Amino acid sequence: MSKFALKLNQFAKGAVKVYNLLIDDIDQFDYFEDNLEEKYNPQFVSFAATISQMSENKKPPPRGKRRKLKGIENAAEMRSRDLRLYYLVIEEYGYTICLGGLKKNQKKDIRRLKSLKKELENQIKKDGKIEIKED
Amino acid sequence: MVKSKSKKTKLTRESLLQSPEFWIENIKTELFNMVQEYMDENNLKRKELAAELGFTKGYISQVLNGDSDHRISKLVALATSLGKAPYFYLKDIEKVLQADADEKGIYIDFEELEAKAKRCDLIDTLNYTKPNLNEEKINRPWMSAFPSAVHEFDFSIKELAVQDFEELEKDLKPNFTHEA
Repeated sequence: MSKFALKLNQFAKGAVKVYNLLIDDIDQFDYFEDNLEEKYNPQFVSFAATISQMSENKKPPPRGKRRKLKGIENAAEMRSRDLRLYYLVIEEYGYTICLGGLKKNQKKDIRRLKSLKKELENQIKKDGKIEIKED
Repeated sequence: MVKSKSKKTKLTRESLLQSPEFWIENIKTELFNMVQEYMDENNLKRKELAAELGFTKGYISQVLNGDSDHRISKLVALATSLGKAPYFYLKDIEKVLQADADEKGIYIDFEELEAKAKRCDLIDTLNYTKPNLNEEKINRPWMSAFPSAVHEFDFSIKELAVQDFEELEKDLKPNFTHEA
């Protein structure tokens, strides 16, 4: 069974917390970045900019940049032309980035998000909290 | 220990702030908010707004979806159509990076800045110095308008003057300088 933890996202420096999900100590946001082809770098930078804005919570990013996911409570995706970044809003913690992927793999990734959410909720129920790791 | 593969150069907060994409996203968000606020205030749908301003519905959708690169002429036309003057402000990137490193924040709230500048002007105008409750008499320019009140409620007015100063001081002190 996977062990979950959180780590603050380095682009989120404002009052609103944005975390990366760690699965067995693997940072899912880093993993997404590391496995992206170079051609997607500008789109990844746009995600980082959106995370920074979300954290500042001054004004919301355009609607087309974020979309709530139907069928999964408190889940949403950040969108760019070719990429998707999936996150949950976890009570008492905040935004939690769970995984990223290509738009063409969206259906599969949303199924993965759904299952991650369930596992995460089970761990919170069992342990009462999620560990927050430092760098 | 947090594991992550490191095959390529990773994006850092510093490199993010130096990337064109970061600033493009901020401008897109400003545009989105400007249009969205106008639509909310006037209870308009995209199509109605497009018709009112003489833009295509497609263009309004692009702004609201944040998925368009904008021609300057079109961007300015959109802003002025909505009754907004689009200021363009440039700041040295080194100062932005320093502010970020110092946890001072990089987003500028121009409305807040204007309000603070007005308060500074007010302080300059009134030549404010912190009043002292032990002084026999204190003088503020506005007091001359109410000589009898000042005489009758001298101590209360002194207290108010101190409170007033402290409020202004508290508001202004945190990080504010005249430099934007």
